[in-house]
Amino acid sequence: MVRKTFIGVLCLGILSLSLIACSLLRPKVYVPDMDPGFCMNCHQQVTPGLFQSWVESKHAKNGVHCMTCHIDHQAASEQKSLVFPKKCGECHKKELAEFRKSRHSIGFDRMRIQGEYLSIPQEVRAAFCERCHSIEKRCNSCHTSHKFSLKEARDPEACGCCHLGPDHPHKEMYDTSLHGTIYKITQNPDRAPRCVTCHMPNGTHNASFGIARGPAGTRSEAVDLKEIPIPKEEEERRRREMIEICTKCHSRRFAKEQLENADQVKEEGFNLMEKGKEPIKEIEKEGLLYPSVPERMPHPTEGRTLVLADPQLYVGTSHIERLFFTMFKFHNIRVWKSGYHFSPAYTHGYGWTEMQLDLIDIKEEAQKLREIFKEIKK
Amino acid sequence: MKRGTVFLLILSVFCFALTPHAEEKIGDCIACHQKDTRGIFLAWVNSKHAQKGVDCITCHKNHDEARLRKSAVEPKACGECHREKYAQFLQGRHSVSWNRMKEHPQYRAMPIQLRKAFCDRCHGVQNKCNSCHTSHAFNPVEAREPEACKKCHTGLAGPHDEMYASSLHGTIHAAEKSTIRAPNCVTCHMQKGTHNISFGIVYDSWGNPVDKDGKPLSKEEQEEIRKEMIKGVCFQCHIKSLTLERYELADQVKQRAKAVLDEAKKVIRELEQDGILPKGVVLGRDQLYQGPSRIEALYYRMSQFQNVYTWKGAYHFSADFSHWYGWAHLQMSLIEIKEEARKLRELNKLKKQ
Repeated sequence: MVRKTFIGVLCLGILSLSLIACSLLRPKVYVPDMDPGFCMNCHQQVTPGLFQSWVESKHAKNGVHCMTCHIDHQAASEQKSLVFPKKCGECHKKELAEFRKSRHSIGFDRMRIQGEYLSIPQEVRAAFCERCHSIEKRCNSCHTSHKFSLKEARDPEACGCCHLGPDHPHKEMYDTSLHGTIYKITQNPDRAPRCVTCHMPNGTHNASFGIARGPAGTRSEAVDLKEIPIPKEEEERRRREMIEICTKCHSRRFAKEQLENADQVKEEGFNLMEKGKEPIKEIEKEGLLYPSVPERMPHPTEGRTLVLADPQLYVGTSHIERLFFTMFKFHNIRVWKSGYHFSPAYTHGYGWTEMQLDLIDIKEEAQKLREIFKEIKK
Repeated sequence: MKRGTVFLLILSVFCFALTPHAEEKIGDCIACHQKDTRGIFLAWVNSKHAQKGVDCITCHKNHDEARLRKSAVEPKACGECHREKYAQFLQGRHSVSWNRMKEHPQYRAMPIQLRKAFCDRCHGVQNKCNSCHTSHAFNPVEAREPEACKKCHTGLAGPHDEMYASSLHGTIHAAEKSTIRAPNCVTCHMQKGTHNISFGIVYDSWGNPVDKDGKPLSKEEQEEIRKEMIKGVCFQCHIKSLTLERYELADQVKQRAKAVLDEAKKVIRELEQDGILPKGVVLGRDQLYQGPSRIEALYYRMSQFQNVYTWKGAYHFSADFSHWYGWAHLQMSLIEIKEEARKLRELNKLKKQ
């Protein structure tokens, strides 16, 4: 009798302990008084596309609904319906931790201190820079609301929405590389890699995985998230990580050679870029820049000084500086980054060739300025 | 003998009566065209037209008629059956594109053979229903894909396709071809299949709030039109606050871009006033791309391309296109125009010495 009671109490004890453990270990999800059906009654009619996307999502199948993320109308409207990564991380802990190791997680903060951003009228910043750089605050940049489809997110199109354009044509470089063309034809990631194959292997959300030589942006130094230079050993370790991915299809020797070649291409590009700076610095010394540095609006972060390359503005400078802007911001980027994405069209035709032509233009402009305006200055 | 003659006479009249009329029969068309233009025949045979008894003769009538028009079939003819669509079509800008083109100085300044190869090919949409659902399949599935619009709405003059492709709408649609996930061109611009493609659009190509005949729209009319788009389309997926915010943002971008353009214009007009450029410089809408000075060519790029990319990119919600292909280039062109003006002034002074 005592034994039976003892077993009974033991079972009860274990049961209670497990229940307590379950409730403690579950993510802290706000359970409101309303039920999700309440949301759906309106939203199925008012925003049918949104509702349908959610219905087709894995979230819906797993009981994650409007209130799980949005709580209620008031909480949602305070954030303009945005759901921050921290919220997603309540369930997707691993992904959030990985995300926080990547440069995506500092994209917005970096943008806000950038001279270019600060030189754009405030009202239109949201239409330009913030649309992409807001990835720091939004998990729905790649797997978009409300389907949060993995298939969509893995497609190069998802990355291509932001990683394209004259200032960083990653999508275009990829599309004109063998990797990209084969993937486009076969749609088979075992035949050719897509963006996530190399940059998010095994689904890691640390999109800075394996990037050894320098961060995103236009500076060439390899720095970490806090702008501290990465030690050489760390650079080598990252390079080895990336080579592991390449060796799924290529020999180790081949992969190493290709990436080292890309390193050399990068260096050559930066050297050429430096050549473009010289004539401009001389012109400034000769007092021939128009508008001169003291005459123009000070640079938002650098003040009254000549700024060439990052963080140079495209607004309010002289013509010869604007020629250099294209050289550094558009063309050098192509030489550098398409070396690593293996697009000869972008490395050479759209990149190196253009840089050389820019150099001709810059030198010619310097000469004209001297001939026309030096006489007057005398 | 007399009976024989009468008999022969009756026989010939009888035979004459039996001779086929000049009226065509479908079998006559198919007999040749099944071999001679096999592609056309197959496209037609698999079309809905074929299933419903609409054949060569319905639209082309006969060889003589067809030849007069070089086999083109006017929208009016399609409209005989497709009444509603034709009426809608007449409300939109596609139905005035040819006329507008013919009035434009750039068109008139071009050799005739080049006009055909360049402008006519797209602006001909006014006179051809087969621009989007092409002959002879007339397949609406084809017409609904962005590629159908892309044939004309692409490239330097109007890179709508590029803007769309680099927006979230476009990239999601490319990854997952479902209009529940993301809109394509027809979702927004031909809501519920309307052939009035000016549905929900307030501005013309030049950014002026006018209707398709150039008549200015009042503020109330503009708001009504915008509401049609927002309520009819955007609200299918987006909440009100986001939608309105995005539109206001695009409006801001448009205004700002115009301000940069106006600044550049001022520089050139001042050169004109000071006699450094000849009087009567044409800038903007009626400007040609041949012949003028470099500073005018710079302005051409600003007004025809970069300003357009900025504001239309904003309404297609492509941050990259609107910013980097539009705004950044606008600003850089402004730098170039100011520098060019300065050089022209100095050279002018030197000449006078």
